[in-house]
Formats: sequence, C-alpha cells, structure tokens
Amino acid sequence: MTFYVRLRRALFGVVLLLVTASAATAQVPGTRTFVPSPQALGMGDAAAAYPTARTALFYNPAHLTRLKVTRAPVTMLGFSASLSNNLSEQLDFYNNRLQPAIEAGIDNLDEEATQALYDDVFKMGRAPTVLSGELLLPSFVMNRGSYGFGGGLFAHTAWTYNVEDAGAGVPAVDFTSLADFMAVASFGTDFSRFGFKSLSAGVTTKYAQRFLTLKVKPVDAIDEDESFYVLGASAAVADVGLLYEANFLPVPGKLYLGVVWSDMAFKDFDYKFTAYWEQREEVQDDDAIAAEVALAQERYQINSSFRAGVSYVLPGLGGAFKETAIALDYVRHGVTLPDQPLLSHLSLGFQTTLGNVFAVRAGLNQGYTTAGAGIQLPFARLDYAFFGSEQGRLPGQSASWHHRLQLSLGSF
Amino acid sequence: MVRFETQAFVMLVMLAVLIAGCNVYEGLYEEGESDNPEVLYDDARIALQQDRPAEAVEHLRKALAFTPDSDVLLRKQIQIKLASAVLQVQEINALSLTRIVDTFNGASAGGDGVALGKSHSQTCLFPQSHARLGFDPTEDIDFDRLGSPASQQVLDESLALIARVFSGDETSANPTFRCDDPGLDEDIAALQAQGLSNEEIAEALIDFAVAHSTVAYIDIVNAGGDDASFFYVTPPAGDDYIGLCFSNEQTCNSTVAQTTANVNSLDCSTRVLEKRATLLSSTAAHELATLAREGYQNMNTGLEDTTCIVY
Repeated sequence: MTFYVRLRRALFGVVLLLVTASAATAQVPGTRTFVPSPQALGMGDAAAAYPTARTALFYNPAHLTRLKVTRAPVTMLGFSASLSNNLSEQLDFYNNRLQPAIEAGIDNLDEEATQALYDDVFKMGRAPTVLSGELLLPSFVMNRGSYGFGGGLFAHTAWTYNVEDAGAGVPAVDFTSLADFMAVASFGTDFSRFGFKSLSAGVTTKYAQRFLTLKVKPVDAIDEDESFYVLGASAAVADVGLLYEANFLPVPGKLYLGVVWSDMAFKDFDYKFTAYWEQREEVQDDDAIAAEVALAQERYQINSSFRAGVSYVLPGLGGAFKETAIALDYVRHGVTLPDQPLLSHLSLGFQTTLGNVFAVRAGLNQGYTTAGAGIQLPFARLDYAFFGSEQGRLPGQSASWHHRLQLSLGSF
Repeated sequence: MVRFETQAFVMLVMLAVLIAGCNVYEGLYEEGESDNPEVLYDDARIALQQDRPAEAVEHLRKALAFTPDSDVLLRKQIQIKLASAVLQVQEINALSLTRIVDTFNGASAGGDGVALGKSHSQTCLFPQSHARLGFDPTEDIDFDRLGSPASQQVLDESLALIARVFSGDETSANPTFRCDDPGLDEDIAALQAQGLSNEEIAEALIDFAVAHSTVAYIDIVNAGGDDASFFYVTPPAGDDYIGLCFSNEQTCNSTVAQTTANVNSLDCSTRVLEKRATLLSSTAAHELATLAREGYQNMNTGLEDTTCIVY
C-alpha cells in the first residue's frame, strides 16, 4: 500500500467517523467533567457572578441561593449539540476534493495535483474539528429560604480531530472520542444568618464515568489491523463557589462578586483498557494498549480551574427589556500556557431579556466575539450560542469557532 | 424613551455583527516576542500548524539561542522541530522521498531503449545484451527547486541538526550521524533515556531519511552532469536494476565512485526508515522503508561489481 493510499484511507476514516458522529451527543473534550451552558457561552463565558438557574450546577453552586424563580426549574430531557464551524469545510473537502480524487485514483494524480491534495489535507486538519453535545437527563435546581439544592444526570460525548506534522510533512492524525456519564449534586447556603451579610457559598460534587478512545499516529503508521481501544476510568470532583451581593451601591440594580474553584479532584481518572471499539488485531496488543493508556493518563486528567467575576444586574431597562446583566470573569484553567497575557483570561458578557421570554446575548471570550439567543416557554427552553475560543497562547493566534444549540424539555 | 432604547439595541446588534468572527485584541501581542524558549517553541508549533514555516524557523532559531546547554531535552526537541521546519520552507517532504523512490523503482521508465538525446556510442555500467528503457530521473520531480542552492542549504542544515540531536555533539560543524548497527540503536536508546518520546525520535528519523535521500538523489543526478543517461535495465535472468551510460569512459569511471557513495547514502536512509517503523511499532510504516529499500537495491545492483563497458 503506497503512502498516498494510506493517506486516503486515514482521511476517509476520519471523515466517516465525523459523519457517523453527527447522531452522537458530545461536548468539547478535555479534562473537565462539565456541561457548558449556551447562556454563558453566548455571554463570552462570563458566568461566575451572574446567578441564574442555568449556571448554578456547573459554573458556581453559590448561585443556588440567589435564584429568582417562583418554582423549581426541572429539566426532564434535553439535548445539546455543538460543532466547530470548520466541520462543513471538512465535509465539502471530502465531497468535492477527496472523493473525486479517490474515484479517479490518487495514485494516478500528477505531481501538482498530489501536492495540492497533500497541502489541502494539512489545511483542513490545522484547526481542530470538534463535534460535541450532551444528553440532559432529569435535573433540577431549587431554593428554600437560605438554602439551595440542585442535582441531575448528564451524559456527553465529544469527537475531535486535527492533523499535525509528524516530520518531513507526514500528517499525524490526532483523534479523540470521549464519553462522560455524570451524576451531579449541588448545595448552596446563604451566610447572612451567620453574620456574613449577602454572602453565599455552594459546593457541587460530580461523579463521572468516562470512556475514551484516542489515536495519535502518523498516517503511514496506522496499520491495516489497527484496533481502536476503549479506555475507562472514573473520577470524583468538587466545585466550590462564593457569591457576594453588594447592596450598598447608590444606583438601581445589583452588583455581584463571585469566585469559583472548579474540578478539585479527590479521585482522579485512572484509565484502564475496557473494551475494543473496533477489534482488528488477532492477538491483543498489550504494548499498544499500554501506550494509549499512558497517553490518556498524560492528556486527560482532571485539572482544577479558577474563575473570579463581577456582574451588574438591572431588573429592567424599560419597555420590553427586562432583566439585563453585564458580567466580567477572569478565568484561569488548570493547564495555563506560560507568558499568556491577562486579556487571554478575560470573559466579558451581556444579556438582556425581552418580555421574560426571549434573551439576547453578546460577549467577548478571550477577545473573540460571541453571540447568543434563547427562548424560554413554560415547558421548553431553546438556546443558541456562537462563540470563539483561543487554541494558542495569544489572543487571535489560533481561533476555534463553534456553534452550540440546546433544547431542554421540562418545567421552567 | 423606548424608541431610543430600541435604536441603541439595534446599533449594538449591528456592531456585534460587524466584529463577529474576529478577535478584538489581535495585534496587541506579537508571536515570537518572548525570551522564554518553551514559549517560543510553542509559538513555532502553532506557526507550523498554520502553514507559516518561515516564521516557525525564526521562532525556533531564537528558542535555540535562549536554551541553555544544560537543558538537553528542550534543545533536542527544538532542533528536531527546526529540522522539520526548514524542510517545510522548501517544501521538501515525504512526497519528495516517494517520488525519488518511484523514480528509482522504474515508475518513470519509458522510451525506446535509446539514451535520451545522447550518442549511440556509449560507455555503460551494464552489458549491451541487457534490455533497457531510458528514463529521465527528473521527469516527475521539480528538480529546479529541489536541486537549487536554497534547497541544498536547507538539506544541509536539516541533516546537521538531526546529526547533532543523535550524536549529542553540539560543538562540531559537521556532527556525525551513526547509521550502522548498533550505533543507531545506541543513539536512539540514549535519546529515549534523555526523555524524548518515540514520536519525537520518529520525527527526527524521517526528517533525516528524507533529507539524506534527497541529497543522495541530487548528487546521483548531478554526478555525471549532462553526460549521464539513466536506464531501467532488465537482464536475461535476475532482478531489474538502474543502469547508467556516458559518452566516454573517463566520465564513467570518475562517476562510478561518487555514485556508489551516494547509493550507500540511500541504504542509510532506508535503515533509518526501518528504525522509525520499529519505533512506531507499525508494520504499515515499514512499507515506506520497503519501498525505499527497493529503490536502493535497484541502484545498488546497477553499480555492484560493475565496470564501465564501451559499446
């Protein structure tokens, strides 16, 4: 099998995986056991100090004590899907460039055409392609007096792939498929009764069972009998949050300050070979399994993160515009690149609601513009966000753009 | 009042649409400005990922300058990435290698058995009784680019960088790359002990193989100058091979020794590719090595125990 044929097969396999993944539910893979909120993403990912029902479980559990709800919002079932906006380019590339080349016979291409195809492979794979989403099983948030409670079950999977140079221009495929099943329980309390006026605290505990499949190899090193392994592991983590409501401002509205320490692990992932996703080898290759387990241990561990934020919330702007909020977060993830400027850590967001039914959002996430909208009915919620995030070190160095849509059914 | 707010809201939405899809902080920071070699290394990786190899080379050169000799692992990682980057600047890659190998494997063989544009009175490295097909070894290869001084400079730099990584010799202008057994195995084991991953070592190996075989190919093509003609030769018995013809015996004799050395370089490249495949625990990666070995054998058979025959 020639180098070109192997290249073609690897690309075909990756595109096929992406196409078949469209029915899956997922989220951006990484170390976090987390379900992102389209509300927060639309607001530039600023959420630490803006207490809402949609941010209480995964952003700041102290929000549980400040929910402005007359009855507990309950999600019975929900779906969320997110994709990077280069996915359509990938599919176009497959349909309009790769497939015709395969049909014509890649070995028959002349030097110029082969080089062009080769260059396009890298071009397509440079930015990570992500397809992700969640399955929202029953969950709720509620508060009673000074206490708030929440909990739920969630599942997410994520598929990402990109191409890197493995030396001398040989493409290396970096593919990951991740599935997390999570049970979440949150508790929040207001400390006013203990003398700390307007201060709330909360804790969320999460138990996650993760299944992971990865393949990081030069395309010419992917054997015909290459097996795909499923690695399994579980973890238990906690988020701890504080929220302070400043009532002393001589202006209408409320000012909140929030701080959250997320993903503090008291049981980290310890990956073990669990099953074959696709078994092609005749005899179990223990060395290959050990190598992938080692890679998973290195790349997919829990890393705690920290965010501190401030928000200013107005009950209404007048007319149809109801609650309106501006929020700013400083976010520091567990794995932070050196020499990363302050602006790369800032999230700024804005949300206004129209008639308590529609919400419009905009923001800046690490300098990338974000936008979103939501509609809330008594039995359903639909939210959309378009957002960018930085894959590199500096703002604007390596952009990744995503769409996210979430539908929740229940009582809101 | 409501109308004013609505207008303000619409203007905000229009502004948001206007700046959508960009980073508002872009331009405030410059890639490659740091003096931290690890940061520069990361910047270079991103530049490579975004098809900006020339910028990656700048970042990596700077990174190397800022990396102390004591940080052996980082120096080697930077040197390997720099070797990859300089090759990318001149678009010398695995495709170049496969085209060269295809050429020596007879993929471009054609013609009618007559030396291309050469006299019928020849001195050849194969008997007249052997069937032959003439071919142009530069036909499927952009030889003007590959054989240019700029490419030569890049190839030399890449080879020196990799030799430096494997030998650990940071001072010599011409560090030695050990291609022999057990020399190469020992050097690989030493790199593993220093903390380089198998993937990083594999990257260095394929960079070396591509650069080394490209240099050998250029030298083989240039060895006889315009006087050399290439043939794909089929003997009455045994395997096909590559044969060369010249217009006079003197050129033939002077070229043989030089070509033999270059063909031995192809053998080294082949061994390096085989080591890479072993390192990646991949039977598939052996295919490229096997392909390269066939190319080497085709050339080697043509030179083995051969003398210039006038006919």
